[in-house]
Amino acid sequence: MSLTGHELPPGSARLEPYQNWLLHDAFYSPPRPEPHPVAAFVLANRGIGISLADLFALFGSDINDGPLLAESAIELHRPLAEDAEYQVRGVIESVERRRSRRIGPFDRITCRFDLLQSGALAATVTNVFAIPRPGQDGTP
Amino acid sequence: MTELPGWTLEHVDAARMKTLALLLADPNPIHLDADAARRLGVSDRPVNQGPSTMAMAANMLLAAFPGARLTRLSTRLLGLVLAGDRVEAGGRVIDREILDGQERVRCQVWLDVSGRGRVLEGEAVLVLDENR
Repeated sequence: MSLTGHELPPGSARLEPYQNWLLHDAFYSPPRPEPHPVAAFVLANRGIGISLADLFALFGSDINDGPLLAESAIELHRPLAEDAEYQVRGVIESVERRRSRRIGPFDRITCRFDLLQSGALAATVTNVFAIPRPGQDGTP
Repeated sequence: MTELPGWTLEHVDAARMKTLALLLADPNPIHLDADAARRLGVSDRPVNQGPSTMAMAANMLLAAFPGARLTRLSTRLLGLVLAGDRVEAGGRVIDREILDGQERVRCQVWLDVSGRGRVLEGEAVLVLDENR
């Protein structure tokens, strides 16, 4: 089954003030009411209607195998706000089979997440995961 | 091209990774448990989450441009940041423009781990504070 174009279940997320404080602290950033720009990543991750473990299962991988993020891009179309409700939509944009000297064959899977606040696009997060495919050199 | 002041963290903290795992709803054991990271052959120490590594680069930019708004951060994660590491983020301005009356700067960014080299490269765009 091709995963390209697969839409992920939508969901929503909110960064409550105490979570905003904790997130700044976790990011080595002085806590303040304005969320850290990388909070968009957290809202996307938590708000999409599929768990990270199930997302990796969809990729044919296992989160307990320690998969890693290879690339990430965050675009903030407007400032983020604490205690605001964000609708999160996601799609698997592409799956490309690649080969690296270090990990051998792997799939480079690109997922895009859109965060909307009151119907307006607030942020876009595009994450690329490298999923090892040992012994699989063909097309994904 | 203007070099930006560096941002240094002397000690990456495993406890903060645990807080972030909860906030991210990320059960990946390599961020929580040194034994799991060791079993998987990844490291002998907990591995910092990718978004936290990105946040360090963002912290450098926001310190270099007080009051600015980061509108884009695009990163490639080239290596691991581990609990106990010393890291230094750096960057340089590669372009400036006025768009819709706002000054925007485009920067290269990077993050280095002492003793292991570069672990993040990327680009960012900030809208500067018009009152600065």
